[in-house]
Amino acid sequence: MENFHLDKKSKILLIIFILLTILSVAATHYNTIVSQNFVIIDDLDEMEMEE
Amino acid sequence: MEPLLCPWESAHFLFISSNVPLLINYSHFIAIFSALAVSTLVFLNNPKSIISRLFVFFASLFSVWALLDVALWATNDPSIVMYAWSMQVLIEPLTYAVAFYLFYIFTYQKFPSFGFNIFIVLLLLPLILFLPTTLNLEALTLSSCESIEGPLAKYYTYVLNVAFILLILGTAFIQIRHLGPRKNAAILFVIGLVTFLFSFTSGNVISSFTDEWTYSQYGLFGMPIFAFLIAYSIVQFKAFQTQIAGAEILVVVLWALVCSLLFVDSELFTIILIITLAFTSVVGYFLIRSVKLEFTQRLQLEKLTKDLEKANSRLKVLDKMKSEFVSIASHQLRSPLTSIRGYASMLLEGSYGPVPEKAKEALERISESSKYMVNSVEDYLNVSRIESGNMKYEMSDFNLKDTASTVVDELRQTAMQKGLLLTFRSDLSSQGIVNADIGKTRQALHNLINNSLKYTERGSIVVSVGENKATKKIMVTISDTGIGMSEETLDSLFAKFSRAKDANKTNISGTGLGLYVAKQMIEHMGGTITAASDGPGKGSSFTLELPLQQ
Repeated sequence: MENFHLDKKSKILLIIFILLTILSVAATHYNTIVSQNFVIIDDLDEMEMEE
Repeated sequence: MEPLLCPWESAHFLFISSNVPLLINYSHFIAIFSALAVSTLVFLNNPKSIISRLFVFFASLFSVWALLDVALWATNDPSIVMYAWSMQVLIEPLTYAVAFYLFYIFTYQKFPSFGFNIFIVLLLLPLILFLPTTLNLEALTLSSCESIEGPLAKYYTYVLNVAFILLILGTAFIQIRHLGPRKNAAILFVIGLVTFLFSFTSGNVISSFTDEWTYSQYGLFGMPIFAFLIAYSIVQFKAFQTQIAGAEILVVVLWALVCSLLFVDSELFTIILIITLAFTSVVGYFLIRSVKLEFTQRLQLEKLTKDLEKANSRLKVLDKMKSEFVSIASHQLRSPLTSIRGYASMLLEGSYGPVPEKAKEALERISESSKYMVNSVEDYLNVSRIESGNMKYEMSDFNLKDTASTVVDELRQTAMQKGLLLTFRSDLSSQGIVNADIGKTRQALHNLINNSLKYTERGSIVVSVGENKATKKIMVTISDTGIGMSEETLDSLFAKFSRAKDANKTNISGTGLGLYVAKQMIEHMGGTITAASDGPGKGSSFTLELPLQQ
């Protein structure tokens, strides 16, 4: 049977890492889905002209 | 103003759309099914294991990545594309990091050090910090509904992927030779893992640099290969401390293959069906072989069990016959021996007139020898009774301290004749009343003290009575300064006919049944007898314990 554990300092590091990841995912969600703060290159006319 | 959308119809339920290229669903869902199926099997067989949990986490991260990929092909909504693409940029290196931890823990059986964990977090930190920025995704091209990747997505994630692959290979290179019996499983594990991670990265790197994202789907076929190798190592080498029958894995593979057919585009259905049929034939062949093997093994086991049952019942009959024989023979022997002993005593006491000194010596020898023979016959009779279950116990409350003291008094004369000091000590705070058969307890104590007397050449024997308040038991400990015992002798001490190694050389008489009989009788009355010794020449101690009567 396994008998090993993550040390206390590494556990704290893991929790900080998870929190940062959640913040980053939330910020990305806000930027893209909520405020749609990104550049859209509208090349549909060019595509139609090529056709 | 109407929101800008990519030039195809909206996806149903995020994943279903006519824009999804051929094979995409098949390659993605077969990879998801195989990852989840194998990791779930491992997890269900050993849910408490950290490796099993990490394996499920790894398979889940990969499955989320693959689902996001299908959503990216299906959707025409730029905001969903930007979000799902960003999440893929995050999840991909995280999957690699978890794969590295999985392999590290599998091989080292421990977590990496805190310093190493900091190094991994620092490697991943830029990814987390710059994920919401334009360093990740710069813009979106509406005609193809594809993001224009920034340096984070285009270069850094691939650097991370390669770094984790190298860390896995490095771990394998350093550690795999020290793994002993787990070496083969670890080799299959690392081959499967690196094949998957390498094909996954190659597919994505080629797609990223050519802007032709259909290549990335081929990279996903590395996952079924990885899942197959893991399944093989589980069945063949019991990897992950998991015992799964081959048939179980094969049924899961069949299930995954058939389920994946549900997601195949109609135009490619026939080709995929043929591939699936080919796979099914191969899997079916192994399945039948595996079931046949298990069936044959079961038949062999059944036959062996029947043979064993027969042999066992025959042995029981023989054992009973042996016990009966010993019992009858012992009874026949005991009666004449008692007569011999009785008449010898009477002659010695002068009941038949004066006996010359020379004859007295001979009579004493006759008396001693017959006493020894009576004791031996009594031992054989006891063994016979114990084994046939005919030993009768008359339970009553009595004072164990007084009983032990009486036995010590009886044997003091023998001790003095050998020049040994036999002392009795009591540390009892209570009365020391136990409920047991007084005769059998006396006999057990007699056997234990007599054993110490036999194996002690010089020094002393201390019989002490004490109480264990925690277990509510009364203990009689017999400590001697005798020949002591090795670990080997201790292990077989209470077995039938067990005698000390040098007993024959040192002319110590005995049948080797005294300790066996004592232990059997005391255990039958709810007590225990244990022995301890610091080693040959360092003396021994025997402890008899009986539950204290409240």
